[in-house]
Amino acid sequence: MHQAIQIAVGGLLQGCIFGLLALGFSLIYRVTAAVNLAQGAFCIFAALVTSSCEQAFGMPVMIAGLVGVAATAALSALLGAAVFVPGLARLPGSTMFILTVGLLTILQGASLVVWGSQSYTLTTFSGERPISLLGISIPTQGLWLIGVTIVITSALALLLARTRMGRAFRACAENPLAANLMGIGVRRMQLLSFVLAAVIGGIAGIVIGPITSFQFDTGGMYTMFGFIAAVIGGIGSPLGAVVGGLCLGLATQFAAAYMSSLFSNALALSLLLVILIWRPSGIFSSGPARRQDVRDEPRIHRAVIRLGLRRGLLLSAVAAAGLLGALPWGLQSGGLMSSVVITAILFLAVIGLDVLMGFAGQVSLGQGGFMAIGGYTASILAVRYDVPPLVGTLAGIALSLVCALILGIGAMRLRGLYLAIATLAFGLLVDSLTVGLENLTGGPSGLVGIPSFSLGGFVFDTPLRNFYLIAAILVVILTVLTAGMRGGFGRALLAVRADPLAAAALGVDVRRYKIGAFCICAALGSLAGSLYGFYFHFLSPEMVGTPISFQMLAMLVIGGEGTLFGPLCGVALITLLPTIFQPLAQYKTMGSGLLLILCALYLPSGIFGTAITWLMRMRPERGGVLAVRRSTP
Amino acid sequence: MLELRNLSAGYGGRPVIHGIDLDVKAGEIVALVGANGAGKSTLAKALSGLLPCLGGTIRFRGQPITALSPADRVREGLIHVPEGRQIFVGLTVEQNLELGAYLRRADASRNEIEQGLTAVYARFPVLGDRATGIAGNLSGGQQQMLAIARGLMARPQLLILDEPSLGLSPSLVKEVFQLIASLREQGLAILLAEQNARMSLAIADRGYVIENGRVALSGNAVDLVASEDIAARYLGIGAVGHAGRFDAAIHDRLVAAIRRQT
Repeated sequence: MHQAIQIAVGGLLQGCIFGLLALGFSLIYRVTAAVNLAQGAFCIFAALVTSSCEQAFGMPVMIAGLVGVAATAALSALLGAAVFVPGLARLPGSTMFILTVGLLTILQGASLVVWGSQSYTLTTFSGERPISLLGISIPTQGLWLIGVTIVITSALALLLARTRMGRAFRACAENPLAANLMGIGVRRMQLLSFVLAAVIGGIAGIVIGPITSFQFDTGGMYTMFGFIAAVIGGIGSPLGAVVGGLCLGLATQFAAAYMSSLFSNALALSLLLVILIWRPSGIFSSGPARRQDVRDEPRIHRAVIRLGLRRGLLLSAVAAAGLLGALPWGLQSGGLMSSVVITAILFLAVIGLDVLMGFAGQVSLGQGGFMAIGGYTASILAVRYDVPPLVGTLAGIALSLVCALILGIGAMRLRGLYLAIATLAFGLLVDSLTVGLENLTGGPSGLVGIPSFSLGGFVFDTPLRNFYLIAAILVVILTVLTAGMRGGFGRALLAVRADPLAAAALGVDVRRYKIGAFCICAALGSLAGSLYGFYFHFLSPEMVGTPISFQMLAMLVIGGEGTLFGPLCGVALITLLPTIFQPLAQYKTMGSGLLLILCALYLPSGIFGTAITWLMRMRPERGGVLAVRRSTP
Repeated sequence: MLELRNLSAGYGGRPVIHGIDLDVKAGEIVALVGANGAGKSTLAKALSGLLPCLGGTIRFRGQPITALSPADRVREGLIHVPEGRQIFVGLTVEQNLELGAYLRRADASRNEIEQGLTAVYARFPVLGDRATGIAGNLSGGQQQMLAIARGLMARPQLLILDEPSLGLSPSLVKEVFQLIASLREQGLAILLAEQNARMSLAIADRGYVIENGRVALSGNAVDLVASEDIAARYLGIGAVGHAGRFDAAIHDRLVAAIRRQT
């Protein structure tokens, strides 16, 4: 009993952390109907600034904290005015998602440049000695945490429910155009909510700082748990955020205590999936359900840009010849050749993502999970049971397809925000399993001794051989997919993307096509994961984890969605550039975040799509080399 | 009250309306008629500040307002009731109305707002009955009433109504137009953008015909109705009207033929 209470106290504290992180999500969603995935990065930014003030200037932690919060407010005002608010004015919900992934990435990258990759922690606010109450010990920082959570939650609830500004916030989310006509400065309100949320996040980061250690990329984790807590509680409601946080905190702590720490995250994520499918609007739903079609408004009307069939083949042949011709140059330095192979492997996975996002219009944040399933299945079978690589790869694909089907059937009625979070939860679940099942996967230190891919006695053991192998696979897959996307299958997917209701009314079996696209995406991810393992002879959780899912999303958007070939630009830019310019490697994360934001805001069809459109403009369609086919009338 | 001189506005830097000159005097209803896509809604949005002006000036009650934000224009008493109603469907009827008085809340007392609500409920008893109901559950006609009532809550000097008859049944359309005529009785100036030229010219003092983003014709409402050009183009009389009658004849014959077969 005593032990249970002690665990409950631990869960309560953990829950307060999650709840505080979730509050910012709810506030921003309440005002803008968008989700800000950069929220966690502001927590870490505030904590890092505080830590620097403490260490470099010897400030007491409270004053350093104030500086940290002020710096966060300033930074968020800048990013909000330059990126978030302009994005809201012209991007649909799903692209806002990607835009905030860009913000998260750029903040993490900048933190890496400024603060390096070591971990930090803050001094407790009032001494290290825990308070003992009826035999239950509570760290004093925990009391601070509970107090801050109560104060911020009630203040926010009052602000939203009772004040004129709260009503204006609500009006902005309901109908920005009408709110504008009522004389509400909608953009100002949006910016205000963004800054306010960042400040809440900053305070959270500083209060949590002394309890946990943090480093430049902890923000991603904070974002995920805050987002999950907000969705469990019902996004948009401050009370829901805290209740969701508490549910999540208690569940993880009890699972860790009574089952094993391995399954604590897994249990929390399963809880989330169950809640999502059972009651998508969360425990406290705020207002009537919003229509959650992923590709609402402007982006759907964007034409899908592609080359005419014959010209396309010609161009890809030229590109392929060019690539092969470039090889001897690449051979001179093994490093570059290796990067080219990695690019090709990732390209495979991103093509899958393109089918799902660019064509079927669903957002997936779990592509890394499928890479992990494929990679670990094939590698474990090869290392521990001597199964031939090809069979292992196929087994990985089969397992991924089973997972995709289960997830797809359960979650496909979810759309937009909820589908994204279901796939995110799936990816995180796979992450926690790859880390946790140490006997099988080698745990965090990774799985070693994976053989090279081999086919009938021929071993693909050099980068060049691997390159030819993957190039061959790519040619086959791109040919099949190009044909498929030009035919009825692609048209049906585009119809699903543009308007699921209208597509269903026209006789398109929306569920089947969505799940079909999801399966293609999963299979390609799995294949890429297996090849990854065979190429590196080593596989660790962070090579195929959720951060990679986010990175692949960035590669896709930068290259161009719905283009099949476009993602190559994105993958190559992010993978090859840092290799070619070694000194830049440190700036890789920041650079990819910046590129992602620029593309989401200014190049909605990515680099490839924009390049094609440009070529089109230069030559009139009749006599030209290229043809653009429009997807919408 | 409202003077437009050489006004151009549009989307993404490309003008849709070009060099519009238009006046609305105190206490009059001015009808803005024109076909689909002529630029009526663009003009309305430019007046309320939702779209930036690309050229020309807008003066309201003698003051230039071309550079003012939408909020400042609301403060001046220029209220735009947009096309498609645009009510806050997730909020209650009363919350919608209170948001109409959003800027007044800053200085007016709660009492004044209450008086405004009472006045609105007296004029629209349906809204009073459903004050605590969710606005999205109102019928189309009631939503249009709510949109106009919400505009009135801001104490307008000039009301811009964009397609108030859109999607309403003929009897409701009549009701809406009667309401608009009664608002003028209170001394409100109204700019009425409508596709239903016949009805809007019937209650208007003056009218402007917009075509391809330019003023094609303007004058007293009575003269416009009498003008053959307008009649032919927008009122379904004259040359086009003959065609209509011809269609009707074919229709009758077809119906008769079908009846004979069954």
